[in-house]
Amino acid sequence: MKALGFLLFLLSGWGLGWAMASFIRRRPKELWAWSHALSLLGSEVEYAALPLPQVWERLSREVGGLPGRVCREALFLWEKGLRDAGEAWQKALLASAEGSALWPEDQELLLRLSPLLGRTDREDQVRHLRWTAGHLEQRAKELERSSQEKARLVLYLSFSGAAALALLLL
Amino acid sequence: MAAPFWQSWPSPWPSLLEETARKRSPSSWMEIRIRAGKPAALRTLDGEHFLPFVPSLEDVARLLSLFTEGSLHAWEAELAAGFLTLPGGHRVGVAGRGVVRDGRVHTFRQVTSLNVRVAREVRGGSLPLLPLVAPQGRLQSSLLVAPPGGGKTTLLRDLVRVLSEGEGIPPRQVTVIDERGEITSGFDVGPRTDVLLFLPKSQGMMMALRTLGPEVLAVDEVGRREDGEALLEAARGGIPVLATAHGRDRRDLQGHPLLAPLLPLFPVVLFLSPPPRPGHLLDLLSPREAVLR
Repeated sequence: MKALGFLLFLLSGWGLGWAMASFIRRRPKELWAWSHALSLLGSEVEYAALPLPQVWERLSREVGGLPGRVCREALFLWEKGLRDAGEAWQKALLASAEGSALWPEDQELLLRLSPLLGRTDREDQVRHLRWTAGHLEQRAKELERSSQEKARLVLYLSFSGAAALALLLL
Repeated sequence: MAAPFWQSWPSPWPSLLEETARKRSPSSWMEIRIRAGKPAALRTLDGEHFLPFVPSLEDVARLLSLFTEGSLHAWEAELAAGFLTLPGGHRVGVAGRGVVRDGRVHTFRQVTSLNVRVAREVRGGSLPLLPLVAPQGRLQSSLLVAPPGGGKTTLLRDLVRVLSEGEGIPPRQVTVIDERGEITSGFDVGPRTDVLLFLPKSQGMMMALRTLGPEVLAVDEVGRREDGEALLEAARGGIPVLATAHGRDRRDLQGHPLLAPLLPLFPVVLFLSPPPRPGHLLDLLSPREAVLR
């Protein structure tokens, strides 16, 4: 019985650690995904000169994860009658913030695009999109190594913490 | 019945224009003039009528966002030319703070006025002109001349449909070079019509002659220097061209430095009356110089 309890403690400690570690690992992944999505958005604006609702429609099919969901939501809002691309983008981003691993400062970078999207010429749109994509990529690169280390640390700590607690309780 | 074009406009336009449509039939509407800080106005065949609404800059921006699908960058070329074409062929003239690059209008940064020119479809409206454009069924290159609002594009659109469907004349393969999207956008232009949309007229005409094998070419508003060469090419190939041009009367046309040299290419020139009777024939310049009233 005691052995089973000990095992359960270990398992729950490991599970908690694994959940926390994967959340930590998600941030750079999401940053990469956003950087990729914004680069695609920039390319569609630059080369195809497509209107944003059409680009969102395409990206929601081609890009997975959070950026794909935000594009789908922005398109949904546009089709529902919100005829302001920037506002649709902002609302879609805020609606998706809850399930995201991005930090407020990452969200802020994406939100800063809202008053600009669709309101200026192609050159300007592309410049802003590339600038934001570049910043997100830079953050993702910086985070990649440290987040791996942090995730591993959290996993070990929670596992060993659970083991120590279980030993004390034995 | 199709929904009116203003139905998707932001509030308060749908209710305002619905109310206006009850008082004045939309079939008489010519233009809706929207200026930030000034009362909106409707120009109909019987004059100008102010509407009980003063749009703000924000209202104008919202409309522009709707017209451009929230994406000014996707309409850069059109904005540089000063207009947008909405589905249904309605043309929106734009005024505001322009951005000039390399000596050319690049786009508009702040739009203060929109002039929505309401496109109309008058099915069968061109049938009375058919004996003049195609005497004994032989189609002639024809130029429809009228001042703005004279119904040139409406008649040209219907002529294209009539020729393509073969209504009262053997059907023809028609190619329309629709530089502004006004002729064909959302309209029935017949089953034998190819459309080159948003291409410069001269390039579109040359492209059509080389690749599409048209039996008739149709273009709106000729008058640029480069149009002449393409029209000449069509004439060499024996392809009749239906075209429109701005002008009031024959003196106006014959004194025009760019249009006058093109006149020999058009055996038939039809002058249409200005509003309030658009689309009515005023004068005809033909090889026999006949004048009809």
